[in-house]
Amino acid sequence: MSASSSGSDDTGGRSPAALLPARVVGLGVVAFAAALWFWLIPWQVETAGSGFVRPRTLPQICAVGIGLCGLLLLAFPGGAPEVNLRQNLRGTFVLAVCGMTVWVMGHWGFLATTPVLALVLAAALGERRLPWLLATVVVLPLTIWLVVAPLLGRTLP
Amino acid sequence: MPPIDTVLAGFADAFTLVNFLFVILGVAIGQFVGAIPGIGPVMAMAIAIPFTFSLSPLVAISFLVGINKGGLFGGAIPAVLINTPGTPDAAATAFDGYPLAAKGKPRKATKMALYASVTGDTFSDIVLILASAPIAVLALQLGPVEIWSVMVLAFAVIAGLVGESLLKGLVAAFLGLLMSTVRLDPENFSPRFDFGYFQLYDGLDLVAVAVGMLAVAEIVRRIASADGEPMPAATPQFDTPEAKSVSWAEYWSCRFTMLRGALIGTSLGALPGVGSTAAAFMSYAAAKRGNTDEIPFGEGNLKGIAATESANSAVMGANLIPLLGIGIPGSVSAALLISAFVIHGIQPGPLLFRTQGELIYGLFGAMLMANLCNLAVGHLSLRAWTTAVKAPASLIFPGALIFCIAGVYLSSGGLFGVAIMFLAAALSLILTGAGIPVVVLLIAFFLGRRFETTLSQSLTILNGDPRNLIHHPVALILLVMAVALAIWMGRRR
Repeated sequence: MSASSSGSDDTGGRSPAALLPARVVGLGVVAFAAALWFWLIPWQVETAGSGFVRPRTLPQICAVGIGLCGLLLLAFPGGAPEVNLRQNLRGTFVLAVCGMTVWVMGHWGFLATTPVLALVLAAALGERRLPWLLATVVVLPLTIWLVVAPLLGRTLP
Repeated sequence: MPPIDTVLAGFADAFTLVNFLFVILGVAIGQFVGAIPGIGPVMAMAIAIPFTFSLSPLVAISFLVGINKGGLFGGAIPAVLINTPGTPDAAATAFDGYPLAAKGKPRKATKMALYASVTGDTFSDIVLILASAPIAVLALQLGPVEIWSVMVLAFAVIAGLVGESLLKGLVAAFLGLLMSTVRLDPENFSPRFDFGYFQLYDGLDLVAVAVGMLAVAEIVRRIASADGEPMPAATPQFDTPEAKSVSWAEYWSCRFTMLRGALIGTSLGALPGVGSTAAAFMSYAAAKRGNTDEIPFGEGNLKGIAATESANSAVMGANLIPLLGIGIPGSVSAALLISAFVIHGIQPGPLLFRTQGELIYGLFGAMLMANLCNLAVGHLSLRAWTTAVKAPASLIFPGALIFCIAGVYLSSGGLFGVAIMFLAAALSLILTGAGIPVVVLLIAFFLGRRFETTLSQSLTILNGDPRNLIHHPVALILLVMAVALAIWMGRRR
C-alpha cells in the first residue's frame, strides 16, 4: 500500500485543508487539558489528603485522559466541527439575553422579566403577529407563574 | 427475586387512581411534546423533573415514564403529517408514513405508528420485568472492583457507539467525570473547583445540568437557526373509513415485522449508549430487505411504519435493564430517571430490588399501564396533536425556556442553579459544535460520584497495586473487554 493511500485511510480521504478545523478541535482539547493540569487543578483542588484516592486523583486522571485523546485527535482528526457564523452569533446573543435575564430576575422578579425575555425570543424567531405575541409575552409567563406559585405553592423569584 | 407479596403490592400501588391520572397526564404531555418538532420527550422529562418534588416517588417516576412513552409515539405524528420527525427516533417513520399521508391516509399512518409503538414497547417492558431481577441478583455478587470495571466497560461502549468518533466520545466521558468532581472531595471533604461559591460544595445540580445541556441548548439552537418562516401545515385528510383506520387484518399482517422490530429494539436498548434511532433504522432496513408486498417500501407501506415504530419504542423498556440491574443508565432518559430517583432519596442499582422492591414492581406496573394509556390517549387526541404540529415556534420555544427557568429554580432552590443551567447550555453548544457528544458527557456526569467512590474502594481492596487484579478475574475480564472494545471501535471508525 502506498503512503498516500494509507494517509487517505487515516483521514477519510480528505485534504489537509479540510482537516484543519478537525485538528483545531484536537488542539483545543489539548489546550484545555494543559490548562486543567497546570492551572485549574493546582488553583482549585487541595494537595492535602490521605488514602489511595486523594482530592486531585480523579481530576488528574481526567486531565491526562482528555490530553491523550486531544493528542490523538490532532494526529487522527475525526469529523469536522460545524461552524456557522450567523447561527453562532445568534446563539451567543440568545444566551447573553438569558444570562442578563437571570441577573435582572434576582432584582425585579420572575413576573417582570420573563415577558421581556419571551418578547425578545419571539421577535428573534420572526414573530410579528399581535395575537401570538400577546400569547407568548403575557399569557405564557402568567400561566407558568399561576401554576407554580398559587397552584403548587412554591415561590418564584 | 423479591417475594411475591412485594411484587403484588408493587403492582397494586401502580394501579391507584392518583397514579393512573398522573400516567395519563404524562402520556398526554409526552405525545404533545413529541408532536412538536424540536421538543422531544427527553427535553420534556428534564423540564418536568423539578415539578415532581411534591409527588410520591412512584407517582413521580410513573409520570416521567409516561412522558417518555408518550413522546416515543408523539414523534411519529409530525413525521407522518409534515415529513418532519418530532424526535430523531421517528426519522425512519417518515420514509413510509409521509407517503401514506400524502396518499390521503394520514390517520391510518399515525394509527399504525401508534399500534406498532405500543406493541414494541409492551414487548420490551415484559423483557425488562423478566430480565432485570435476575441481572440484579448477579450484580449483587459483584464487589466494588467489579462494579468499577463494569463502569469502565460501559464508558468504553457508550463512547464508542455515540457520536462521530471514539476519541471525542472519550473526551466527553472524561469531561463528564471531571464535572462530577465539582464538589467536596468525598474522603477529605476539601472543596474542589468551587471558585468561591459555597453552592458548589454539594456539586453541580443534576437537573440544572441536564436541562441546560439537553433542553436549553436545543431551544437556543432552534432560535439561532430560525429563518422566520412559519411551520408548515399538516396534510389534508380524506374522511373515508378505510383511510382513517387500521383493520385487524392490516395489523396482523405486520406481526412478524413488529416482532422483529421489537427484538431489535430490545436487544439494542439493553446495550448502554445505543439509541432508539439506530434501532429504528436497523429494523426498517431489515423489514425492507424481507419485503414481498406489492407496495414497495418508501411509498407508503404499513410495514415500514410498523418496523420503525416497534423498534424505537422497544428501546425504552430495555434501556432500564442496565439501570435497574446494575445502576448504569443506558440512555439520557434513563439517566434522567436516575436523577428523579436521587431527588426522592433512592439510589438506583441492584440493591433496589431488595430495598425498594415494591417501588420497582410499582414502576413495572405503571409502565404497562402507560402502554394502555398511550393507546387510549393516542386514539382520542390525534386530532388535537395535529393542531399542535402547527403551533408557531414563537410560542413553543420561549414557553419551553421559561418552563426550564421556573423548573430549575424550583429544583436547585435559587437563581444560582438557573445560571448553572445556562452555563451548561453554552458548554453543550460548544461541545456539539465540535462534534463532542453531550449524551456521553451526561451519562458520565451522572455516574461520576459512584465511579470515584468505587475507585477508592477498589484501590483499598487492591492495596493500591493493580497487579492484585489477578485475584479478581471478573474485573480483569471486564477491563480487558473495555480496552479491546475501545481499540476495535476506534479502528472501525
